[in-house]
Amino acid sequence: MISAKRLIEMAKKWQKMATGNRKRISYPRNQVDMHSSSAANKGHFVVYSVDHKRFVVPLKYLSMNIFKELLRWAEEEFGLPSNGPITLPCDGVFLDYVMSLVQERITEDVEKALITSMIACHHEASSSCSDHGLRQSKDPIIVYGF
Amino acid sequence: MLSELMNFLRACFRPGSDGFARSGSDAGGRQDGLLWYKDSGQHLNGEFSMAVVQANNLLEDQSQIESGSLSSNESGPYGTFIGVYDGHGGPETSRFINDHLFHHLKRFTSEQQSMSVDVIRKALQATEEGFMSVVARQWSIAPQIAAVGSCCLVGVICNGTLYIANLGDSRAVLGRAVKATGEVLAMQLSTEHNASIESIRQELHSMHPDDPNIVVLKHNVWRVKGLIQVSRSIGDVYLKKAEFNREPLYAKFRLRDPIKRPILSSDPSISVHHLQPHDQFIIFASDGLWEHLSNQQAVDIVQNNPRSGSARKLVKAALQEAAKKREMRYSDLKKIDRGVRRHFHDDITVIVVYLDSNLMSRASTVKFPSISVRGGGVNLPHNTLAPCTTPT
Repeated sequence: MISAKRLIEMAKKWQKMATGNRKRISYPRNQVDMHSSSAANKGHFVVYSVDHKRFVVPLKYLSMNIFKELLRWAEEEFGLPSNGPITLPCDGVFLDYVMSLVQERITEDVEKALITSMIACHHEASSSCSDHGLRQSKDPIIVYGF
Repeated sequence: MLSELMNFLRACFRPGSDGFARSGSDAGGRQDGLLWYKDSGQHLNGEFSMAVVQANNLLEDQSQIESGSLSSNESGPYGTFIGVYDGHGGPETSRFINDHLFHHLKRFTSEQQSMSVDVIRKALQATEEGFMSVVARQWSIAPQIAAVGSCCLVGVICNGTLYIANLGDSRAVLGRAVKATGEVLAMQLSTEHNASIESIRQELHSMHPDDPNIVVLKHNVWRVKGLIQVSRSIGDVYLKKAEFNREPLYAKFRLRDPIKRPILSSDPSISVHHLQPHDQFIIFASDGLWEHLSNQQAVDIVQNNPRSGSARKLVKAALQEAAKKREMRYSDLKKIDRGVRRHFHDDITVIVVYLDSNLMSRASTVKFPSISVRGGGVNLPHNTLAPCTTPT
């Protein structure tokens, strides 16, 4: 189990990377399941990261504050989606990280710390967190990672 | 940093906006999880079917069907009144319309001793003014009510004439039989006011020639002042009067320049249709339905299913489409509780009104036991997964 302190350190590091533009990695498109129209397995829903990575998430995660907060954040950033799947305003690396924490049975403190760091990122780097993912260009998608 | 965080969190949670108690007479409706329905009822000119599915934490869609006397005294004229009110920013405005519009309509019908476009226009205007005075009264204690509004779709059937009045993006669609082919074709009766429509954007630009940013495209959605998709509504007084677009209203609703003239209009589009024997039914629904079904798809569903439960069939078809777009199963979508559900679909209200040609000729003076049904909803504490959803 990751302690809250360790998590805050990790989140801060991630945030620094994301805002500082220091390290860029490219995300090959062929890893990405581009808007597959197939329905998720029973008991799951689907979200996409801004870099088009598809996440199949158990329905029960919707009762967790971290997912409620991510959805609220998505609504603030993009409005409610009308004709397609849900896109969350963060990149695949971050969502992978959230999913791994949740799978490790995140404690309330850790969840709170994660939300705090997310919100800080939303404030300080919302443009860099979200803009590039929506751009419809042929360039390789650049995401910020650890 | 901490204060910034608190402000952000505060901005995320809307204030308690349950200021009005529901006073609906939910005659005969049934609740199944987040779905409310009244499969069948009788109005003066035929049958009707009604269904509502809730997505928001507090149901923002309100609706009613009233049949019987359309005036304050029982001498008539008689007919049927249908209302679909799709609220935004909270449920206060749509509830207010549900509680007041029909009474205003009856009052003006009595005064003028007949139904007319003028009666409907005056009733809507009185409702708008009534809500504005509520905002003025509450402004000092709950200023956010200034940012609550509602679309308003009204149908009145009286003396073989159908009046359709609309503000916003709900829609009324007629199913009309084509004698030669036996097909039932969809005919849209209402004019919509959503900035996604080019003519609406042109209208906004011509009414606000000095403001190049009157309508802006944000994340592929056109919004008036970057704030709202509809250009006409009841409420939303923060975009109608300068005195309600200032502190203590949340900064995100405040405009940089003071409002010189109303940005949103409260002037309804009203049309009059003379009903014909081959007019089969009218579908009244909030945009929650129409974002998933075309007019003709909806008419086909009504035409190809039993009258009883047709509204529920339409809601189900829309939810199945919503599930497909969200890449999940319909059976799973139905398990998601209100609040979180708004990320998967909108509140959806449907009223299907059948027009029985035998009953249409019924004189408007014939007495009919009056009926009054309102679309329901849940306002109880909740979990994220709905406690009781049985598949339909």
